[in-house]
Amino acid sequence: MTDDPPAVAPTDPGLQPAAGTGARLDPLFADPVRLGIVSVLAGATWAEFGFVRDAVELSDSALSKRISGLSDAGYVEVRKGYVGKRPRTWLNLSAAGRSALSAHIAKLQEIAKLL
Amino acid sequence: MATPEEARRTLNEIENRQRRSAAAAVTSRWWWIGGGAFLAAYGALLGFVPAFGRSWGSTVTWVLVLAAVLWSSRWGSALLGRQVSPRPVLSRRVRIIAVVVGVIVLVALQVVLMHVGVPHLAAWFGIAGGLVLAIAGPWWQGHVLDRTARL
Repeated sequence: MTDDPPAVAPTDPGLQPAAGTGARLDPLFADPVRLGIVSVLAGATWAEFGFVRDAVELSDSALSKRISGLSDAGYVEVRKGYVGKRPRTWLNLSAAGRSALSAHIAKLQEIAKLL
Repeated sequence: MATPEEARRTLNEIENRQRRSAAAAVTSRWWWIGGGAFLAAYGALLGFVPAFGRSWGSTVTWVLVLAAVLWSSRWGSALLGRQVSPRPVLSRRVRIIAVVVGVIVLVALQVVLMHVGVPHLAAWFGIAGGLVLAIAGPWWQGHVLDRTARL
């Protein structure tokens, strides 16, 4: 065991665990695809459905299913609208989702420190 | 429970995905340069051809407001072909304070320069603002996106 710092340091205040929540692994993020989706959403705000689909390499229906789960948990906000005549769906990581992701990352960093 | 190796690998994957989506939110350097050139030209016109401001000032203001709304809304971003919007690093409160402080500084500077009696004040303001936008804009954006992408 060494005291090496983890590969990724928590420098963004937006992704710090909320006070009192502490580091913990979120069972929803045990699925790497769900974790991939929230990671993509954490880097920006209001991403188009098509962008997230291409980033995580899923089909429309598979992504919809994953988004439903994350939305039900309150981690992802979904907005639908039209641009011209074309329907669009936008996704955003909610404050609860960001907090859960930061707690998950903090726990992973604790585990990585054991390396 | 993940092993340390798995945890480190997962952290790297999370960081890579965040960096990619932050990179997708980048605005082309040419938009910054074009915006800076427009601001400089507009300032020069206002400063050296005052009649232009009286005829076109309100029209240009409305066009700029419309452009700002387009740029910052989901609908407008989609119309312009942007699939993601950059995530603001500062909180809403800090952003509002920064805008208020910026406006106060600009107004104070203008009042001081008017008392000193600088000729073609609007032109110098426009040219200075345009240069700052064109040169510092891409740097500022890179700095903000880099902070956004780091965990």
